[in-house]
Amino acid sequence: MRLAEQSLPAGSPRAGRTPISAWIAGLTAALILIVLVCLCLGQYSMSVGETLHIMTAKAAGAEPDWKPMKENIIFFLRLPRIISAGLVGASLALSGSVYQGIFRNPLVSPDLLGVSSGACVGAALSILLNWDPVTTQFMAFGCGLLAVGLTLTIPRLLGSTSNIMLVLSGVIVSGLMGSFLGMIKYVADPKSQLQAITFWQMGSFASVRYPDILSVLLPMVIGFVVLLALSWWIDVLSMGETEAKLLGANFKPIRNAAVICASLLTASSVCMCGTISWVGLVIPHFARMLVGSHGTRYMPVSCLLGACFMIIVDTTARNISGMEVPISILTSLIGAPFYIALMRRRRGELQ
Amino acid sequence: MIYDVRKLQFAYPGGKNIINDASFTLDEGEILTILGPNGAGKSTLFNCLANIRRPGSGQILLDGKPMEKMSVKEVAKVIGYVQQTHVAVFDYTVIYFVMMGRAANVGMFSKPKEEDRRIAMDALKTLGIDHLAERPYTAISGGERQMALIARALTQQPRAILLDEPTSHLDFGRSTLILELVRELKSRGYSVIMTTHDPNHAMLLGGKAALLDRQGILHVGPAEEVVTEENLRPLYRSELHIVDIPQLGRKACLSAGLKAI
Repeated sequence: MRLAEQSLPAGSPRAGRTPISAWIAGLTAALILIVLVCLCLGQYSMSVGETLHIMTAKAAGAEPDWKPMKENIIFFLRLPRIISAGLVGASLALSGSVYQGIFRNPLVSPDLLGVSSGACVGAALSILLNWDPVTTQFMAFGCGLLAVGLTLTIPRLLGSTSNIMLVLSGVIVSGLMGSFLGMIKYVADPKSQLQAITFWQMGSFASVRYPDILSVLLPMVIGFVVLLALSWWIDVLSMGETEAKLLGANFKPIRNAAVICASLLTASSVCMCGTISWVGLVIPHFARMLVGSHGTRYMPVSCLLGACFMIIVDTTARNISGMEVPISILTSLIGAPFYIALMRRRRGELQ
Repeated sequence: MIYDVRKLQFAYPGGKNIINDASFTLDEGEILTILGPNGAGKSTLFNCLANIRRPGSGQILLDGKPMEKMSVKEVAKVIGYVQQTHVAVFDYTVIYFVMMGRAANVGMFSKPKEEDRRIAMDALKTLGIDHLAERPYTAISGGERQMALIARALTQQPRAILLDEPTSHLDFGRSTLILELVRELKSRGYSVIMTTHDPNHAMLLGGKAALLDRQGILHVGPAEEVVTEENLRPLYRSELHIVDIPQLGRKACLSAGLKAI
């Protein structure tokens, strides 16, 4: 049965010939290199050799032959920042990838179902009430998940849980959260609280310490493990609900598990460093460009790229001027032109 | 017996019955072609058979089991469904796309194994499109996509294949090839249910034919008994003729509506 005609040769066999393990090994090496270089950069800069020496000697338990200040800078100022930036970059990139697959739309970001706007309301409320920073984090995490919970509940109450209902419900919840946030900002003290809320909305790793990382480590690990294990299924879900079911996929349980885990990742990120835009949108595209669209390939690559990108951006943020630049300012500055380039590449397909 | 459909009824909320009485049986290696005018509910009936919609009343026994009690995985192991069109969002390769037909056999936190890949590759070879395996699904032609969809259905290793108007987007030559393929599937032991707008398809395929009329009654029987002038004229409200074509040694259904200029 030779039925199909020969089609024109495709532009490029983009799905990639390079084995994915090579990509992962290469990007992991790049990540380690970036971490090492970024540990050296800062107001007090050190050489790579010196940093490496301090770290290996410290790990081996050797007597310190360096100034204690250097050790403090590496281990208590820069390392926690770099670790959290890496985790946040990977989280946002992975949850963006997952959302784009599930909602069959390469233009959605992890904010689609209201997790970021919910987290903003939680944090702003806590700042308004002068609660301590730990509570603010907790509020951001809780309200972010609460907002997604609300988004998942509304279609259930209306008796139709299709994807489109879920997306519309996300629009409603995001709008609602926006209005709450507006109210909070309106009554906040413009001198102190309003500034804190605005700064929080733009994201920063400046105040991240080890306990902050530890407190979100468990939800993050759960999110990473479950989503990477589901990567093939998310591609099956990207066939659409009816088709996925006809192929034998339990659509809703898989979708809900993926949405909840992606929300865990985003909420964990947001509560650690505030909201960061563009990463969840742009990095998955970049990953797909490099290794093709197969979830089993580009999702792990997306994580590593997100981590590298975020560490570089954060290092830029703390080095570019005398004071800290909010992260979202930089991510949008880099993200917008990148997105234009992407749109240019795909202008034929996006009608 | 693959399908045992008993007194199926279906109505959309607040509407009249689209399907009033549909009953038929389908054995292994049998073909059923469903004909009916636009709006009669062909697609609705088809969707009920594919487990996309639940009938209002009546019962579908799939391989002897009530379909409404079967899980999506169990149904997917019996029925392979080929939809009219597939809108591609991501540029998966053809082999990756076809491998998704293994979903019913892959564990929840797992992905397809080498064996699944081999089954998908075999399906591509069966349909003669194995040279497209590594090509992006978005970069192949409409006819090739149709083949990839059928390959994906075969990859499910089902016992019945459901084709929803498989020729609606294909040119004249390729439509004939699809009919040849349906016969080939039958000879390989698959049961086939197919909807179509062209009575000639039912006559060419033989086997069983079913006419769904405007009252929602399904008339089922051997194709040569069901596809007749008396039955088709009121069905399509059109003056049509079934004539012998001596050159081809078979009959054809032609419309008398328009006279040659």
